[in-house]
Amino acid sequence: MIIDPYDPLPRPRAILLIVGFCVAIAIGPVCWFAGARVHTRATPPAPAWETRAVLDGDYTKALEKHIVESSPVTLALRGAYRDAWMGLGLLDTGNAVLGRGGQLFFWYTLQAPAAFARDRAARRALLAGYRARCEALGVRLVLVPVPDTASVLPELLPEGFVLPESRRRLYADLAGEAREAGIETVDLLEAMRAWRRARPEETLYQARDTHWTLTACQRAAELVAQRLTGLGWLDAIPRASLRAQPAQERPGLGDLAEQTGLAPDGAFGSVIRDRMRWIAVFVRDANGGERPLATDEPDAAIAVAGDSFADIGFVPALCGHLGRLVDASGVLPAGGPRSGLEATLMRIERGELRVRVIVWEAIERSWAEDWWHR
Amino acid sequence: MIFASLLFLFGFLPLFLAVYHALPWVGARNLFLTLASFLFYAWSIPKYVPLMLLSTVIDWFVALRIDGARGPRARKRWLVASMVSNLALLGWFKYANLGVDVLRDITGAPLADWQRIALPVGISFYTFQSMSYTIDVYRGEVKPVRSFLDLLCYVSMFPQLVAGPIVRYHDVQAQIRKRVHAVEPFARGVVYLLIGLAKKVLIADNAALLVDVTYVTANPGLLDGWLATLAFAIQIYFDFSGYSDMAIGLGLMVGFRFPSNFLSPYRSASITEFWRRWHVSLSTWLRDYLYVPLGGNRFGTARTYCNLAATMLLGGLWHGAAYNFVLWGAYQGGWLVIERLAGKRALWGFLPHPLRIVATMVVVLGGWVLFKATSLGAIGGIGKGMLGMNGLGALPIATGHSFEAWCAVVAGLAIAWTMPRTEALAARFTTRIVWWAIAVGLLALGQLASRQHSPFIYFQF
Repeated sequence: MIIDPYDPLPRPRAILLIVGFCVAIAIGPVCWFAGARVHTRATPPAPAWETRAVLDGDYTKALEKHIVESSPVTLALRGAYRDAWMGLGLLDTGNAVLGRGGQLFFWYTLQAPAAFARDRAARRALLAGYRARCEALGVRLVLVPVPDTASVLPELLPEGFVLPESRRRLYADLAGEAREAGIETVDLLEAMRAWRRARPEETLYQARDTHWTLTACQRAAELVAQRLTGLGWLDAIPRASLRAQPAQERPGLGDLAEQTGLAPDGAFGSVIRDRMRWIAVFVRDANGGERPLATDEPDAAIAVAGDSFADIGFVPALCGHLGRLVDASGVLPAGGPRSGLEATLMRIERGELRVRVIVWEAIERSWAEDWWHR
Repeated sequence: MIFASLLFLFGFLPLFLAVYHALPWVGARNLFLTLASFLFYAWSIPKYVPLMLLSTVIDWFVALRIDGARGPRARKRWLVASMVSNLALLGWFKYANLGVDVLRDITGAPLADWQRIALPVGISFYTFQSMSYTIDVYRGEVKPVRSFLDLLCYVSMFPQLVAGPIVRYHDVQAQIRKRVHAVEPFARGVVYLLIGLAKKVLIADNAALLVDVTYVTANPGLLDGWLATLAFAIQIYFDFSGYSDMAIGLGLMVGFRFPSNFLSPYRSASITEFWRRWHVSLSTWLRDYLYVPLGGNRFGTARTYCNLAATMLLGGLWHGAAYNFVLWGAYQGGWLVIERLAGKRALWGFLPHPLRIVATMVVVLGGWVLFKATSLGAIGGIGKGMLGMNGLGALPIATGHSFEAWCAVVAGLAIAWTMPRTEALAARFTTRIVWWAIAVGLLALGQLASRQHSPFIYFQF
């Protein structure tokens, strides 16, 4: 059946529709050519021109993603759409889930960790390998697994939601694996739960970001420092002259808030903004001068290797509690549990670091991800 | 590039429409439409652009030769040359992997160093279009086109290039040379586009969330087996008919009229009727260029059944180079033969009309299992589940957006069974229809900006 598209219709209505449609779709190119671009953490860079990538279509795919994510039209549509769903109480981004009291969770951290059991053998072999490498280098290794928000604050999970059994056991399982491999392990989960019970008014995790608060990382650092002292691993490491200073509080848009796609300036802007507070550490030299603690501290005898939790506040907090220099060149956010440790071990093997203790921070959820075959 | 993408809607389309409508005469518009179509096509995998060009050059040249040939044998030779070249292209890119797999299954040894061939987007559609042109010239139904640009414009036209409707040359021949651009078709095209977008994004993509979770489960139960298959029925219908609506709408915006591709297929009371309503442009193509040349119903009952079954089998194979599509074609062909045997009526023809529709839907769902499940093991797993051999099971749960997914299935079923078709809505063009089209279009755009979306299902064919 072919309709006759030339059949008469109410012209003013038709013209209004055409004009509205054309103006609406023209916003995209107008913004682009006027130079109105946005840049968020989700914006991928523009791809480099490579003949093979162009011919295979990889270039255009990457370019499309770059253009779409740089466009204010995308951001405006996404913000308006998600604000509307939030207003209806039905926000479900597929990535971030809204729990009780406005706490956000990554959706996948609430699911059964499918890859955990599958990768057990590969992980065991790697853990044994790391331990052997450390022993050969004369380095002591302590694992600090950081529990996920859902493990510490299950009372804030979405109404009626129950964590799958394998997810509930994950922290104990991974700590058990590390201990089996002979790696010293600090159990932060039990400690955090105890802190939570003792001082429920203290916030341990950001509400709109997946990471911990200054309070939690200070307490974690204190616990690690106590363990290292108790083990006598710090005895031969000289103290440094350090000054810790709480940094100024600043508003921030957490990674989970970004996942919601809610517009920061929209109706629910106040819901997604957090106030974040961290600590800064300064190293005093012999002349009384000061410099901020660097990522790369080649004279440090202690190194932190790990992921984004170490990057957010943990290194300076640990420095403050240990009173010793800490190298953070092995802190690689989004690098998973292995990248940072391997980078640190390689630097020690090449003689670039003279580290005697490695504090290995690993995030509970990433332990169960697909990092162990790469 | 796909229609249901922000880059197309807020980048390609406005720039294309602005330049196209600024051009003063039809030749320039055709040239620009062709160039834009090549850019649109090249956006997926640029290295396959020469294939489409080659196919068009061959058919343009062959059609001229057919027209100039002295006797019927010479005409036939040129037609065979066109068929062989088109089918060789299609066969190599679409079926070489299957051939290697079959060889491996038979011999038990994989072919060493075999690099799997990526399927050029839309090859099944433009090859069929191109072939239909030479066949029509051979039959004397159309005169061969002298202008290569006209033929290239027809083959490459982006609104229907990658997933149809399969437009035949004689449907658009006159429009390529002369067409009227007016407010009425453009406005109706906008309605088509918005409704098509909403069908794809709001219904098909949301329903898909319930399908994928169940079809990867080894042993789904009765409930999840049936509901996931129902969700897939909704997904594939709204995905493909959404694409067709968008294609028709875009065609109207540039002065072309494309035929309808879906005529409310889920309201069919028999499988024979279903095939008159589902993917109409393919069904009629297969009828005119395969079933009829095979002899149709002209050589007795037994031959008719064989022709029917062979046509559906090849139709199944056209969808994809995999066993499940062959089974799907055989299943559909089998039902058509059964209905012929029953006197061109469904086995459930004695039921009241609404129940006949439900019964037809159940048979169609059985076909979708074969279509969706990618291996014989998966077909067996889902089939057993739907027969209750894996227990009652549970409602399928999407890994996110469950609310939208269930709304999509319920709304999809209601629309498929009760709502007028898009062309009826576009033809009526009442205030209420226009506002609804704008509302669902905006909602679809919001969702498009908020989530990852899959390409149209028929892009893979």
